[in-house]
Amino acid sequence: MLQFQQGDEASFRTLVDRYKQRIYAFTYRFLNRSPEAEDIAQEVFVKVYFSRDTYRPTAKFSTWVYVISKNACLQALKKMGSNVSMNERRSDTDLEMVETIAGSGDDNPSERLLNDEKSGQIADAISRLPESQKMAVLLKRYDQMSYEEMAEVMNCSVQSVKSLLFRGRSALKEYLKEYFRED
Amino acid sequence: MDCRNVKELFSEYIDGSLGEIERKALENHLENCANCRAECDSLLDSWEMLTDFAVPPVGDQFTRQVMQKVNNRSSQPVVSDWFSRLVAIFSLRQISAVPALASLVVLIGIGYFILSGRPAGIAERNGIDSTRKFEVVRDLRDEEIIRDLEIYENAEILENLDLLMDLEAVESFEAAD
Repeated sequence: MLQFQQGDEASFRTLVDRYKQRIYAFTYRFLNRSPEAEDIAQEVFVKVYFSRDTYRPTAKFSTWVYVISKNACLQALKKMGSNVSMNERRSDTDLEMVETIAGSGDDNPSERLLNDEKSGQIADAISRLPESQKMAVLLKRYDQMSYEEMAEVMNCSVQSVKSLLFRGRSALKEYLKEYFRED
Repeated sequence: MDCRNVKELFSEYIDGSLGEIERKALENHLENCANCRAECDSLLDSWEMLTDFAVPPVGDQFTRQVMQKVNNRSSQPVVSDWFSRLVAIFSLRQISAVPALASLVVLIGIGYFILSGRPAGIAERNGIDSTRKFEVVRDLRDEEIIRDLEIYENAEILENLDLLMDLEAVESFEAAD
């Protein structure tokens, strides 16, 4: 990032390549598998490019890029409106995915469908959490952030992070209970 | 350590962020309390289950599309950025700025009428078309100037007449001599 700040444009491309999957995974999960997730992840990097002068080396680049991602996701949620419309959009992509799998000649399409169903149920459970709890769960579970890093990204105290995580975990346990009883 | 205290520590226990003493105390409690053990296992299971939330790989064109967006925005004129900021300032979301702006507009209007001396009044009284107001006012001022000049010229003529009469008087006086 420092090289990029000093005018090395090629290092920006390296940054994008290094972080794109992580940031996309975050937007994809936070936005409940919305088809807009990839576009929003791209916007995060565009924002990184134009905000490079505001980055201070005292913060970790990963923390800074997650702050931008969080803001982009919250803005996107506002634009998208209600969860109902987003769930409708996601249902469309689910249908497209099922059609793709059915027509792809995959070795084990039924297993992939099952995995996708599992993903769908977990996504639904996570989407039921309030935004702050959802953010805490995602940053801890999938990005393995420390409480301090999470507090920086979420702009709150470490104690608040612990509390959000505790409540998020407890709620998820209840939402997923039905699912793992079937297993 | 009672059950309530133990449950509050479950989240940090799962994250592995408890200190040695607290962790051992919690594990001792779990060995002796079936309810807490079941709850802790249930939390662990659901946490582990989140691993199954798969994410598809990002598109092949991701980096290229990011670079394209960057290039497109770099080539946009700066004016649009300023325009959008201006729109943001005057947008209805800035409710607090609306009364201040309205007051400013009213003050500018009052100032304009005071400084311009309200010329429209004369024209309107004479039933003159508003588009010709300025021209008529100018004409009125011209008439006044012309009248003043005429008075001045008349005064000069009178002065000259006096001079002539004086000269004639002097000449006739000299002729009499």
